[in-house]
Order: sequence, then C-alpha cells, then structure tokens
Amino acid sequence: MSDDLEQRFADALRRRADAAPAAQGLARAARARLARRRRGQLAGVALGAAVAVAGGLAVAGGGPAPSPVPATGPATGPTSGSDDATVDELPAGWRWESYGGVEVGVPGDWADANGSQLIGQWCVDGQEPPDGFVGRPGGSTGVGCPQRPGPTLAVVGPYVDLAPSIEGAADQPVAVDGGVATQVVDGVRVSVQAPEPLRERILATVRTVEVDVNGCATTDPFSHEPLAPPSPASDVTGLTSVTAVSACRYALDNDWVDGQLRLLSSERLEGAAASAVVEAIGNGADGGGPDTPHTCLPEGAWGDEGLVLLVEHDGGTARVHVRYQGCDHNGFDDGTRTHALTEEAIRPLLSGSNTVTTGLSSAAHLVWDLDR
Amino acid sequence: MGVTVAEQADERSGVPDFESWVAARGPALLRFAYLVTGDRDTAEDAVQDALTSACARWDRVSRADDPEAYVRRMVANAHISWWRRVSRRETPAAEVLGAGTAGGSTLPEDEAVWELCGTLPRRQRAAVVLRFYEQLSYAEIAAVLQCSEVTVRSQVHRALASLRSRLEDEER
Repeated sequence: MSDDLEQRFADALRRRADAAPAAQGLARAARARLARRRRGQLAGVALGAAVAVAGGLAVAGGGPAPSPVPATGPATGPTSGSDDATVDELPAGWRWESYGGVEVGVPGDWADANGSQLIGQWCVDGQEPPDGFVGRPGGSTGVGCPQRPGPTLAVVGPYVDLAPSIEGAADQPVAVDGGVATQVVDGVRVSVQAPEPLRERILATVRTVEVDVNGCATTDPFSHEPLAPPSPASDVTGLTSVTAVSACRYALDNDWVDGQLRLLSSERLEGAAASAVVEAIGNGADGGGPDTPHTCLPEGAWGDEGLVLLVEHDGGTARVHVRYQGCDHNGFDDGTRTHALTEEAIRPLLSGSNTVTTGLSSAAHLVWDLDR
Repeated sequence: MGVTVAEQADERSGVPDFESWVAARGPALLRFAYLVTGDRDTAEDAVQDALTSACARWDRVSRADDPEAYVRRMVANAHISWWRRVSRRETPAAEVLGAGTAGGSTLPEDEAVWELCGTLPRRQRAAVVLRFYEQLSYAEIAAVLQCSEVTVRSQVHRALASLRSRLEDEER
C-alpha cells in the first residue's frame, strides 16, 4: 500500500508540474535582476553606514564600538611567501600588515583602526585618531565631509590605509596628492600619509605575497564555502603541545559580496597565548552559537567575514573555521563539532589587525565592550 | 548583456555558459519551483532569484558536481525563508510573465494531492516534492533543507498518512 501510495503521489505531482510556467527569458531576466541588485548594493553603501550608526555600532570615538586596538608584538612568524623581500628587511621594531595579498611594513606602535571612518569621515566630531594607524574598510557614518582641510596629517595624523582598488586591478605607480601617497598593487590600494622620510620608508616595504607573514594564504576555500567543515577534521580538545595559532581573517561569499574574496587581515598567537585560546575554544559548548536566526536575513546568516585558524601542534597543523559575524551558524568548527563562541576564545583572535569594526550580530557582546 | 570573456573561456573548456545551462535546465527548475510554491508567479520569482545569485558566481556554480542541485536548494530555501521573500520581493521580469502552459491534470486523485500540498507547512511541502517529484533520498533532502534526516522522514510519512486518509475518504 505504502509503495503504491508513494507512486500515486509521485505521478500526481508529475502531472501537476505540467502547469508550471514556461521558461522563456529566464537567463536574461536573471542578468537584469543581477544588474539591478548590484546597482542597489552601491546605493546601499551609505544606507548600510547609517544602519551601523543607528544600531549602536558607531565607530566614531566615544561610541560602543571598539576603539582602535594597539597592535603588539614584533614582526615574527613563519617565512613569508614574499616576492621580493623578507621579514628581516623591516626596520627594527616594525611589523608587517597584510591585506588581500599585499603586505606593508609599519612602525610597531601604530594601531589598527577603521580607515573608512577615521579617514573617510575625518570631519565627524569626537574622533581621536591614534598617533599612527593602519586603516582597513569598515562601517562608517556616511557624513559628507568637506574637501578642505581633508584628512590631512594635522587632522588625522599619519596612517597607512589598505582597501580594494576602485580603479581596477591594474597596478598603478605611486602618486602623491595633498601629502598622501597612493599606489595600486595587485588590486589593493595602499595609501600612506606620514612625514618624510617615514612615508618613503613605508612605501618601500610594499610587496605582494601568496602567504603572508602570519602564515595566511591570500585566498582560502573557506571564503566560498563558509559552512563547510574543515578537512581533515581535528578535535581541538585532543590537540597537544600547541605552539602557535595563525588567525586568518577572510571575506566570505554571500548574496551581497561578489568578486574575488581575499584575506582581510591576520594575527598570530604563539606560546601560552596560543595554547590558552585553543583550550578556551575547546571549552565552548557543543553545538555552536550564540545564534539568533530569527533576527536577521538569511543573507546575513554567516556575515561578510570569518576566520580560518591554523593551529600548530605536535601532530601538525589543524584547521578551525570560525563564524562570528552573522545571526546563525556561529561557532568554532573543527570538523568534529562546532563549539560555541566565548569571550575568552574569540577576543584574542579578533584583536590587533583582526579588529572588527562593523557587522557583528549575535556575537557582538562577546567581541565588543558594548557597555563601555 | 553581452557574453563575457570568462564565459567564452568557459565554452572553450567545456563548462556550460550561463545562458545555455538555463535554457537546458530552466524548465525543470520552474516545474520544481511550481510544485514547491504552488503558485506560478511565486515560482517564477523564486527561480529568477536563485538564478540571479547563481549568475553572480557562475564560474564557481558551473564547476560544482551538480549545479542544478545547488540552484534547486536555493529555490527551496528561498521559499521556506518567508522573511527573505518579504524583504527582497522583486517583480518577475515581464518576458516570463504569462508564459506558462494552461491547465494541469484534473484527475480527482491529482486534485487530492494538490490540495494536500496546499495544507502543508512550507518545509514539509518542500520535503514532499523533493522526495516524490525529485526522487531524492532522505539524506539528500535533509542536506537541501538543512535539517535532520529524522525530521524529513517524519514530515514525509505524515504527509503520506494524510494523503492516504484523504483518498480513503474519497473512495468511500
């Protein structure tokens, strides 16, 4: 009876499917819709910034979002896949910063910050840019700041700003305008503002890499399959003699982000700091989270970025995928299970160059001092 | 919109270009979407939406083991996620509107099945269509709907029990 009933069910559905619409012009309609959607994305940039502010995710000084986190530690780590330089070529006390396959050396006491806000929104009251910082794209207030005086050295101080090139991927030589030197390298726009000879010294360090100084590749499959578990799986609770953790922060594929997805930044923990963070990950509850899937769109389920952790231990290198920016699927996924995010585990990984300035959803309270 | 260099390269490497693939698989996707949504306009919208996302990353989608499964999954989940449909509602393009075949079966048994589908929650309805129309295994359906295999089995069996009851009532 059951098999017969299933067959009758299948036959009825098959006959009913004949009433489906005809497929005329589907591809052309999809392309047209894609074009509209992309135009909408461009128009939505300012809207997104406004939402970030309205949602309490302001990045200006005094708001609840993170202030720039001073970077720590010297330029150490695995050998870079450098095309034309090595770590040893940096001046003493400097460190490497990487973005999208491009590295640049900066003074070691420079902070990491939201370049979109501090530079693009230089006229917003209450901002106190650190004395020397590395800027990356982030949420911003969307204020139309006047051309003059602009984010000059006197206004925002010295900085290196790293961002996707809006002029295209073709390399462009250094051009100086108003005290800011800008060049495009492998699709990354590097802008440097600093007094000479510091500006020249920074520019001289710019290089492309396939694997950055912290051991992070420029691209990773995780960007395209954010929900796929790492392979091979490695139970983090069983890892012994952990010596280092590379935290590689990547742009993730979703309905709103198209194009080449690359490394956004990286950090590296070593010794006791590395083993402590791995232990903290293992202590997180099974099942992942915190998730609030009812609060946001599926497009935001895993956010625009995530981490790949490369955990070096006595048995080799284990991968852990970390989703923290969305409303769902959050957690540390080691391939055997997903551990919940905890403050002890996630904060050390999202500090320094990996500071997140916008877009956090369900896990915001674990990463940011929202009560501050 | 013209064909891009990348798509021409795809043609040379044997990977189907977007237009060719949609021409071949579009009808099957629409039939599936119609059964899942129960409405022709909604089906068109769901398929166009899924194809739009697939088009944006065609280079990757086309190299997947089963691109149709990828798009089918997007159709099913887009419909299940009603909040997404509300928030991102777009009007199906004019060239597709009104292009459907009229009618469909009017057999009493077919009507009973269709009425039953209309009463099912969206996820359960999608599970039933994936099981009996697409002939997927329970494990495959669970992967598509991102739920457990146990849940899928339960939903399908409950739908079968309801259909059995309806048909027995009609035969009395």
